Amino acid sequence: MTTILQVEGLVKSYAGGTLALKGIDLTVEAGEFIAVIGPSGAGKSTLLRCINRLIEPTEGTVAFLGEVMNSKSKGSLRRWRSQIGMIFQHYNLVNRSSVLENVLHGRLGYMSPLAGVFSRYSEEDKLAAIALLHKVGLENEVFKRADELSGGQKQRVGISRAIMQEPQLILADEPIASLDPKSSAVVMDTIYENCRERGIACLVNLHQVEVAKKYATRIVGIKGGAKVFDGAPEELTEEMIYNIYQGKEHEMHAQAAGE
Amino acid sequence: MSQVVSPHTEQRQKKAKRMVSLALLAGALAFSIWYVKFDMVEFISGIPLFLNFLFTDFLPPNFANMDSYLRPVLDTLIFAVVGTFISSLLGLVIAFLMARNTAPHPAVRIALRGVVSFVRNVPFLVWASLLVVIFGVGAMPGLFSLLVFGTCFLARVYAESIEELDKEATEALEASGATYGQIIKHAIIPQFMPGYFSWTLFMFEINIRASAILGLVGAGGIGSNLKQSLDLFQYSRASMIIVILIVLILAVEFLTQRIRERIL
Amino acid sequence: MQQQTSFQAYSPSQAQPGVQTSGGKIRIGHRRTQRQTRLFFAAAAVLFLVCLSLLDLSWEQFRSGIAGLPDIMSKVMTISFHAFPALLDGMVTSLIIAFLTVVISVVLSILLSFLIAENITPFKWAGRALRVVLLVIRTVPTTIWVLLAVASMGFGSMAGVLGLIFPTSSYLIKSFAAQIEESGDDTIEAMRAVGASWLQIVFKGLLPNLLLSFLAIISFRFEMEVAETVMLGMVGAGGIGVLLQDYISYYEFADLAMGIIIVFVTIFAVELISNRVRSRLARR
Repeated sequence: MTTILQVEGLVKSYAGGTLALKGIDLTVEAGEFIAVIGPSGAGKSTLLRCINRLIEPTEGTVAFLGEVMNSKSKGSLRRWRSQIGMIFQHYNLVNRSSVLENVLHGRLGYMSPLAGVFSRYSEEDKLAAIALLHKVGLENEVFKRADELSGGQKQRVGISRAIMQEPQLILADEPIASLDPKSSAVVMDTIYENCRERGIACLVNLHQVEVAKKYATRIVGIKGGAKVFDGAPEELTEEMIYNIYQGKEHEMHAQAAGE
Repeated sequence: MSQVVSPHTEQRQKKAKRMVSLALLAGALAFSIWYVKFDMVEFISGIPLFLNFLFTDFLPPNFANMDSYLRPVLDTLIFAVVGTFISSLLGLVIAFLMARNTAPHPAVRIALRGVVSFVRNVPFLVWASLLVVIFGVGAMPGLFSLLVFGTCFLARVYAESIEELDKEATEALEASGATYGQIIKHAIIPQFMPGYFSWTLFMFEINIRASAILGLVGAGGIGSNLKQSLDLFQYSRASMIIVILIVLILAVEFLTQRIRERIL
Repeated sequence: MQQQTSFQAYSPSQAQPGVQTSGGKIRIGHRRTQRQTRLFFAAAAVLFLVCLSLLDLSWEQFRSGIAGLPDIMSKVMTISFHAFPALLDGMVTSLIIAFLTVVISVVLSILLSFLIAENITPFKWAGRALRVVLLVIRTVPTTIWVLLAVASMGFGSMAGVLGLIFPTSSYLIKSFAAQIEESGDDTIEAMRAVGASWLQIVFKGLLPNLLLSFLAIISFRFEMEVAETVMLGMVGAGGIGVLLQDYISYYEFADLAMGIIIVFVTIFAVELISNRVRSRLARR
């Protein structure tokens, strides 16, 4: 088994001294589907964004495929990022562009800067993107504008965009927190199946424990910026869950559609 | 604020506050009237005289020599179109250089902000008048003042709407390894288009009015004819020009409104 | 650099009817959005080119203007304090004209806005007729109103106030009425239910509720008014504009530079203050 990601001693402090992450260690092996659980404000989102350097960590190292990442070289940062897909809570689509264009954005990281600016996607990429959209059940939405879609559909476009990167790792930040239960199930299935089929490792932030237990091969619990649990879903005891969500118990089952 | 005050004292404080503001307002009014020697009686008696002047001296408009207005009206329109078109392009470039989320360097942003704010905060008739001195009477100073003022106005409002775009799409493209240029092209520009269209159309409306009054300081267009006829006491000609202006401005606003409704 | 995707080939024969190709390439954009954008720019470009061809600018004029520029710029750069007191007096006068205009217009507008607002007007048809009159008043540029007032009253700040009242009131009435229509419905309904009279609804119900939003509109208009008063001086209606116009016509560029600085600082300060006022009002 190859190690995809090795996070060591990750610390993020904000101006004013708030510690969002207090030294997190985490290893992701190939093919793993890891759920990161914890109440809101625990630092799950910061952890994910420190991995692909959307947020610059204060201390610690992140090694991707054995290479330690840094933000010094824009070229290598771009190369790393292009191999890490990301799925967002609010889908983060370009609303006024077509669904197909949004999926093709996943290829930008591999194109020369100018070819990317002028949308010179290869025909193979376009066909692949259309095929991908067929696969996630959006065959009738390919040429619609992103803002014409429902929440669940938008998230499936977001997933397709991440898959389109042919990544080694997908980071999913609360992918179902803004969705109703039915769409949530579809979206989680889509993420899970695609990652399994293509052998992509996945790190997904969730606050619903049931969902985490259903899909994850491993669960990581985060509380107050520190890792308090790391193990197989079966090892996650009720006691442990209550410890993680202490004080915010109402969040662990919440399907928070309107969040 | 956090103190618990009885409703009674709170009301009294509110009342006192209101009295103070009213007293301040009255004081400011008294000072103003004294400073500019504003004669209320003369002013109030001036209102009916003014209305009388408008209705008897100006009406009916003189419909003679309609074709003599054609060229000035056309010039007014041409200034507005050319001015808006060029300043929307220049303004766009400056806006990307000075919006917080797209500026290549903070120093560029601050320098441009300074220049833009200076030009924009001095009324445009001042610039027009100054340009008349530099280039001489005619179309050139008029067009240039619209260009200078319009570019700065648009740069600022474009930059503001670029800054207000949601950061989500930008974040997603950044996370997938897209470059600065690619992010601007694929995430910023598509989302900025509605703002670009509506501000540019708004600028066109402003420019029609602006180019109509440019002539008052000798910078060409229909305003020159208006100034001339007022100076010669040809009020029925002046009212004809004003009627033409009203029709022109309303027609343009009607048109831009239609375009705005169609584009989303 | 471009890496091929390794997904299973997707042959175009499988393509849905919705897939459009152009020159053998698959179109990826959203058709309607793209078409609108192209149409807008194409129309703008055509209009621009037509206007450009009709524009007669003389290059000679441009060249001689540019040639004279360094001389004027060097004069502008020698900012003189000689005219400072006169300019300050002019600026204060301009501010006062703006202030008096806004005060008088507010009094007029508050009364008339309740006549115009559809949800409270006692005379629907009078309100609609007034709307049309206001539209015409607003359409005539402010500077032209002032010019007309000057023609009637003679030069001076009173003509300025008189001319400005028309467009200012028209703007305020429209904005106030829009505010009443937007947020007055609940108050009106509630007070009608308890049998309040029209006057009671207006003075006890609507005005106190809408005061803050009216103040925001007034501060915004005052900001616009200051810029207008500077300009109207240039057509003879008092204030700093008269001085600026004089300096320009007599080529006193050093004094002009001082004047422009004073105008810039004042308008900048007014904008800053009125923004501050509005954000404080918004928080309340």
